[in-house]
Amino acid sequence: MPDKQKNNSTDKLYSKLFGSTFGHIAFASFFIAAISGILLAIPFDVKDPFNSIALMLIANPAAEFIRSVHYWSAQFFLVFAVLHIWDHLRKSTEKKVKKGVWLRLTISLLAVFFVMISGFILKGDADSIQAKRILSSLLFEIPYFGKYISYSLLGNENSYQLIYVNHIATTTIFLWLIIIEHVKLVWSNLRSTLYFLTFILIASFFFPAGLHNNSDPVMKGPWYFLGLQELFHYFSYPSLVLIFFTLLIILIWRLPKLPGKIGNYSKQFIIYTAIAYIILIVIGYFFRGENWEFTSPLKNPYFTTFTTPLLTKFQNYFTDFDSNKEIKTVLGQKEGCVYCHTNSKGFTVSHSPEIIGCASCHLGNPFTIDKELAHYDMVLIPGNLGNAKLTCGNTNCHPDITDRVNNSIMTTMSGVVSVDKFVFGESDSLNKLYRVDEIGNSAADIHLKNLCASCHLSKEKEKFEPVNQLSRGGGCIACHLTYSGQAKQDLKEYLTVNKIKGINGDTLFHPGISLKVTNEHCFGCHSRSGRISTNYEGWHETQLDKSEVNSDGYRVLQDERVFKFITPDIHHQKGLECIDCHNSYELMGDGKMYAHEENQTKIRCEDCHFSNKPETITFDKMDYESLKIVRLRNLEINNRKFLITKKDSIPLINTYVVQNDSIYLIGKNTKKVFPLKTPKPVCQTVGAHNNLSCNSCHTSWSPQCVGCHTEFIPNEEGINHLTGNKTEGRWAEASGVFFAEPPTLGIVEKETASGTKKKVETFIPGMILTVDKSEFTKKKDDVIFKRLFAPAVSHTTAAKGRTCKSCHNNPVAIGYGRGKLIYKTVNGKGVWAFESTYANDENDGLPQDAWIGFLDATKLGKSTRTNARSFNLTEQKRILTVGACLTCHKENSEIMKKSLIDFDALLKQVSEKCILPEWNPGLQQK
Amino acid sequence: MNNNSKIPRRKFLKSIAGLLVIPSIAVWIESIKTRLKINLKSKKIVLPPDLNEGIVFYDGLIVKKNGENIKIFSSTCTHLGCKINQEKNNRFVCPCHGSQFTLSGEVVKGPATKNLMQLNFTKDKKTGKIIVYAG
Repeated sequence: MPDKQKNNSTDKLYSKLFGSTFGHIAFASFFIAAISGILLAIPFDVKDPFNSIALMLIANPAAEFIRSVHYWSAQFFLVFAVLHIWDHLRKSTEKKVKKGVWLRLTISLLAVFFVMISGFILKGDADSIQAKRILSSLLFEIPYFGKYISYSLLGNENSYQLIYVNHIATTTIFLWLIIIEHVKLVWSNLRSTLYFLTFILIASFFFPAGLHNNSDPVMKGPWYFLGLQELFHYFSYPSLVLIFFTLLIILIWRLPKLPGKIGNYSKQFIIYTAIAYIILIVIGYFFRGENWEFTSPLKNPYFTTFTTPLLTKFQNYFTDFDSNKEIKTVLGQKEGCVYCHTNSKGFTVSHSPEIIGCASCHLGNPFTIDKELAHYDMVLIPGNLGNAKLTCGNTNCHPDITDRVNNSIMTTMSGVVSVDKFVFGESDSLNKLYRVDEIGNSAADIHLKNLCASCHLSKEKEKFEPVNQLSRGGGCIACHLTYSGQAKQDLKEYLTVNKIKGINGDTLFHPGISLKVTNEHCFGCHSRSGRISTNYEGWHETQLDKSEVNSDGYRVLQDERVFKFITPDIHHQKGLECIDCHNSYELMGDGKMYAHEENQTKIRCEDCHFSNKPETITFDKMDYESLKIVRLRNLEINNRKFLITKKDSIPLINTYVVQNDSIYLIGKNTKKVFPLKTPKPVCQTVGAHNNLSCNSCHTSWSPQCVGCHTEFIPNEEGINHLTGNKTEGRWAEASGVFFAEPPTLGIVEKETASGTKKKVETFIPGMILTVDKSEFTKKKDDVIFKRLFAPAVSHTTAAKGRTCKSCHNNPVAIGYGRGKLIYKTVNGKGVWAFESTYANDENDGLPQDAWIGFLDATKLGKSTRTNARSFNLTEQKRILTVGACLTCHKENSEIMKKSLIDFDALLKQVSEKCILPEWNPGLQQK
Repeated sequence: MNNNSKIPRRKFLKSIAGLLVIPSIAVWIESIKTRLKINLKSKKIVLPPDLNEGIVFYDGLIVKKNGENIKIFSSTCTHLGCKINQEKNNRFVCPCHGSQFTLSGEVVKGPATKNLMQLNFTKDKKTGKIIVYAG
């Protein structure tokens, strides 16, 4: 009796809350769904369901409203049908139902789920197609009959006819009959129907049924099947899940016959299973993203790309659709954008609105012609890495590339971060992998944020403007954005008088997205630090103020730094651009994260300048990406052999080898043809200079500075370049003197299969500085001194190599710093002496600009790379021994040429006049 | 007396109806079998001769083309039949439940346990078209 009383009071509560019983509400919802379904059948086209719904959304708001009513009534039907079952179990009323009716009711559970999922499938969007395939596969798991059941319910893979018939007729009629038999009513209760119709109309008005944009990477089934999707993610054998649910249905069928205790346990089991399933739904709905990976709901593209905004607008139900205008189909889906934006030009073919529409890049809502709704959640600057996964990287376009770019060194700045942290004493490794946009708030981190962190691809481009010297970041468009003169003009009109073209009969010139990557694209970031962009064009930074510049030969950059013209790189003089050497795999990365830029770079001088037989590839063996670029750049491919890089065998798509082994390079943008030259005989001589890199001789100058000091100024505001916010206090750099001189040389060691390989490379004083952290850490005398040289390719290649003396008799080249390096005879012995220009630094006793101590084995130099170092004492002595010879013998003399082949053998034959350095005492007697 | 040996009318009709189920199922299965047979003919997919190099997702197929070296896989995930429509970091990834396959079709991450199905094809020497038998 108390149970019965409790049930009655609960029933009363439900009645008060919902106006009726769950069963009546379910029936009322079913009735509304059926009626709205009949109306929905009019605009719905079973041959092209997706686009017929897209057309409803775009041009037929009344039909879309009916669809929303159909959608919401169906959801209410499902929820209240389940609640009704729970009600039955709660009150144990299942025992009152006749045996045959209970069996049919149990079977109708399957019909309820089928009518729901078939409705979902009939949307025909990407989710629906996958749901249909999954359902088909599941039905196939049923032994023997699976195939036939699947075909009978779902029909052909590419047709919706059978599933449509089963949705609107078979299951609907079956369910109605079951309801009639169960409730003993033909029509739903009028009061419940009208009451719930109000809820459904409100829900339909404010939360219209959406349509999944097919370019959305997240695939999810309907909310009530997300628990299953979550389960299937864990189960390799879906038949297990199927067996479990079949047993559950059988258990529900047998429930009225189960004796008391077992019956109660079974009910508890069913309820706990339902609760567990609801938890799985919540996980699947909120925490699963692309490829069913765990994702925070805040970052889940599922919630950011649902193409229908939450609020619809009342006046849209009366929108007058202009039937003269066309609703175009792009990438297989109808798009409303070009209904208004009729006349935009300036795109490359593959990015034109006729091919990919507008929403592929700009997102927003393509299924409407209402401006406000269409522009909801629109991305104004696509290609920024924050949106690239959904825009450039959407599944129809470049999904593999956005992942690669995300790991590329131009995005992570890993090398810059690791060296900075090493210098600041916060890390003992130079090779740790970092992402600059994830750094914290340590001294080194704030230093990076204040001074360096704007130059990375994940920095958001926020302004509409062509790429210029002040541009930073922008993801894909950092390199691929191009503005024609007309596009610049249209942008100017937009920014000054807010005039938007392309809508009212005039033409809008849109900026282009193309492969026309110019030197200007690289310039903004690469005119800093190693300054390779300015070096390449022959400009060296000075410390002059722009007001002091009044003669030719100087250039003031947009950031007001003044540069002096020195000597451009020979490749620049000939007309080559950055993009002519650098390829897609090193610029966009190859997917791996690298610690330093030289690890990601593929191209080497020797890839184009070599004397042996070229290593080539033909187009039919080429990788997909290279071939695509060859085609997009309109380069000829037939019967052509292309060079490949020595590292990773990447095709150099703008080179070709003709039959007589002449090799050419074509400017990717300019289409100019350049014959590639083989190295001079002196470069090919096997002997003393085997270990020299091309750069070590051919780098004409490198920008260098002396006496840098970095300190924290606590009372001044700085800028956090990652966020654009202010920082309390700021790090400031003070530099000493700037030089443009041939670089210092040192050794880079590489582990190869045949042992450690040494290569002489070019170095610049990357970090000779004091870092005063006292004000940051509030510790007295917290000052760090570092003297690290960095291997650097300065991009100032000269056709002619350095002279012998510029290395062997030059203290800067060897690492001693600036000063006089003199060879003299003392007591009949040759002695090298060095007088430094700069005073010794109190921190390590070396001249301010030096890397190493003069012939001092205790003062060798360290580098910003673990595999790079200065010359050791033995190497210094060998260099200076040749230097001694050069004090008498001319550089181009026969004897010096011979010395290149076997210097040691030559030493054994020196004349009595020769006075070799003191470390060769025995030899000078011969 | 005779009344007892008679089968009641309702039970008799039920038995007749029960007996009808078996031939009905047989006819149902037969009709679908024939329908599927007719459908099988259309399971032939013809690829254009100028199909892009590299990995192309084409009409239920994953075509890996490297010059003359062509491999064709069904894009149907071996786990639950979802259509695989993307390659990420040298893996074919199923968007529904997250299974991953190498570019040679071998499964490397579950829930799928079987490799992608490799499909046979012939090449028309005259037209260069590739004919794939996808069923």
